[in-house]
Amino acid sequence: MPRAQSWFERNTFHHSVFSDLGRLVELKRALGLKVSVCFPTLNEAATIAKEIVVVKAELATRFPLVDEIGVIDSGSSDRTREIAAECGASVWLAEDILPGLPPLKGKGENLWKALHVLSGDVVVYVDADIKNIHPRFVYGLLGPILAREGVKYSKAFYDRPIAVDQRNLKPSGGGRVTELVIRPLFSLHYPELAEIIQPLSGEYAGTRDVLEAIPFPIGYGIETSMLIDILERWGMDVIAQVDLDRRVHRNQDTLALGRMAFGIMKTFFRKLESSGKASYPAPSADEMIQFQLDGASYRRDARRIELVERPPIVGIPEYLAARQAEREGGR
Amino acid sequence: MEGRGVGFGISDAEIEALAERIGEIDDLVLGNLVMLGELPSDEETVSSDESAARVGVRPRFFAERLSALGADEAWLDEDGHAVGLIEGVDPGLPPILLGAELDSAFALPGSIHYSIADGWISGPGLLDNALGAAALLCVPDLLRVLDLRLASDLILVAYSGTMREGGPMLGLVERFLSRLERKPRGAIAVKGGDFGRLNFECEAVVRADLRIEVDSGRLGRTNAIAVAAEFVDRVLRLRVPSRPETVITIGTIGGGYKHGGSAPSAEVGFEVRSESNALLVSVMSRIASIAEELRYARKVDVTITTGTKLGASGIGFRHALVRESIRTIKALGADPNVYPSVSELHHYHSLGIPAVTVGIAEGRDYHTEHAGARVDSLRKGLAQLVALSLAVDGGACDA
Repeated sequence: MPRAQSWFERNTFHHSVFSDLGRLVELKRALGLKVSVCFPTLNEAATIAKEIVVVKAELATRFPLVDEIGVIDSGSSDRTREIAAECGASVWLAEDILPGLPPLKGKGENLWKALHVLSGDVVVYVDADIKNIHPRFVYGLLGPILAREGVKYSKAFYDRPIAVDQRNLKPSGGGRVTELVIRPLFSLHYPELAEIIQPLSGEYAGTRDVLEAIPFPIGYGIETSMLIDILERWGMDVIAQVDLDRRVHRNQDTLALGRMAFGIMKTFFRKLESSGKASYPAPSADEMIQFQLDGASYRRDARRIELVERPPIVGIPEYLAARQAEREGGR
Repeated sequence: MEGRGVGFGISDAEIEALAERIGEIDDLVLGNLVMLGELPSDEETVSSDESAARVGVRPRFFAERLSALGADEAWLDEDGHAVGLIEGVDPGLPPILLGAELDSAFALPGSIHYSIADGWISGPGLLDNALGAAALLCVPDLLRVLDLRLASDLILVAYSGTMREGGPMLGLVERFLSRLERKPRGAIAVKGGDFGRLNFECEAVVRADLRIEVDSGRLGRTNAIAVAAEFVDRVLRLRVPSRPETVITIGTIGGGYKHGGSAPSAEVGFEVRSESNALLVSVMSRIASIAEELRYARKVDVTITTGTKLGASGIGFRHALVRESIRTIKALGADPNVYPSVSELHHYHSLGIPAVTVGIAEGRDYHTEHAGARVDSLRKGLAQLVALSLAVDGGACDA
């Protein structure tokens, strides 16, 4: 009897499998779906125009795969919003969306609020700082959702060089926080999720029924939280991962990665607790303590990194009203 | 598009209207430019066919994209050039060739980044020559959107390897042309900038490197850099006529290894251009004499290596292709900027193929990492490309 394929074998794809864009358009039409692309931004004036132009040219003008391109901005002090609007994207300031709620700052906030203003049945989240943008960043993520029955969420992984300086790149493997923090934690408590090559990658796509039903941490823990929630509620078979080849991104110093690891671990431990896998007698601290060499002495740097999350947006009345209005408008 | 009202091509009003309509596909044009230009021009990958040969990343992208955009054929040839064919209506006619260098002067692996802001698109290598090559990638879309089909086949060629020492002058273009089954009836060399540029004559040019080496026994008494400086001084004092225009340029100089040591070797890179082949030969002979004299007087080894050598060529101001080019540029609101060039144009001319070089966009910050093109000028540059293709198709090169 042939050996059953593992999740990794079944649900890991290379973007080139989905490069027949005409076929993806047909699949989208057959499924009656609308697709939104969301760029969360904060001071991305240098790259946002190019990202919108490339996605719009190839995936809206040439192949009508993407119905809507939205930019949700955290309050850029540069011209990000103006440039994005000039390039034809729909642009929102995050604090203007659901203004009745207390505003929060962070990528997760923008992704969560995007669900309220964008109308796609599938939402593709793409970071706005990609320097080597290519349509594959979008169609690669859409591919498994459109072409593989049952897949509701797809996550990118890359051969990911980091920019050492303006002229040099260095291959970085899976990323330091991934390999030193999240992979060991997943291996210990959620071994299924350890099959995901880059669980912290910032590009992913999901169907609305999934995205609207899960909470969104506002800070570093968004990717970790999403994966655990999706696994626990729908199982691994709704998740796919897609090799998008190379992504050139900004390098971060070790201290910044340390703060990121802190936020991710807090999210992770809270998830463990809420799913009954562990319990902690005392609440964990919100302060990350680091030291930096300052001349001949060490400078202590303590930063608060709180875990704040938005609840599943499907429980927000304004959201439900907007969806209802959309459904009625579409009749 | 209705008939070819004026001359060999379309009317001035139709040319103007082309630019308007091309504005409708600005995003497709910019998309092609970003995707092509951000690929490093010096990196290799594996070909997508069964040969699994090493091929340039850019040429492979160019050929695959041309195919995806609807070219009837697209391939990589044996020199790594990316070539596309758009079939015309009349297979009996010779083809029209649109060519552009595919390489960029900047080799920053993986870190080429273009930005779009304030009506400009900028980034390393954009004008030199990602934009020229990207303009060729736009041709299938241009023909589709403008609902045009030419009588002749269109050959789109993106020359690869042109940034290697000596560039296209080393015979890359010549070899490509020699492999074509039929000689093109006309050719257009496409450069990134500037729109309005028009070259229909090539100057004769020699690019060469002088190398001076001091024998180890004389090191300390003779400094190669001092000898190089003497060479430069004497070459620049050569008297050359302003008519026919002849120019000597010392472009590079190098040598030595530490501040306090006598240099054992030094190099000088120079170029001589002239509107006259005979004058160029004469100047090069005088430069060789200077080098020879220094060899004996300063007791050093002197070698001159010639990288590029081209003769003067041209099709003349009265040629119908030149007239059509001038009319087209004027119809699009610019004054033609006519000057002789040193480029692949020479190879077209030497094979009897009428050819001009044109630019696609208004540019700025040439030869820097911030080279930029004004986005709205791209429409005019592309309209010009279409109008000139129609003029050649209408017989501008057949007289």
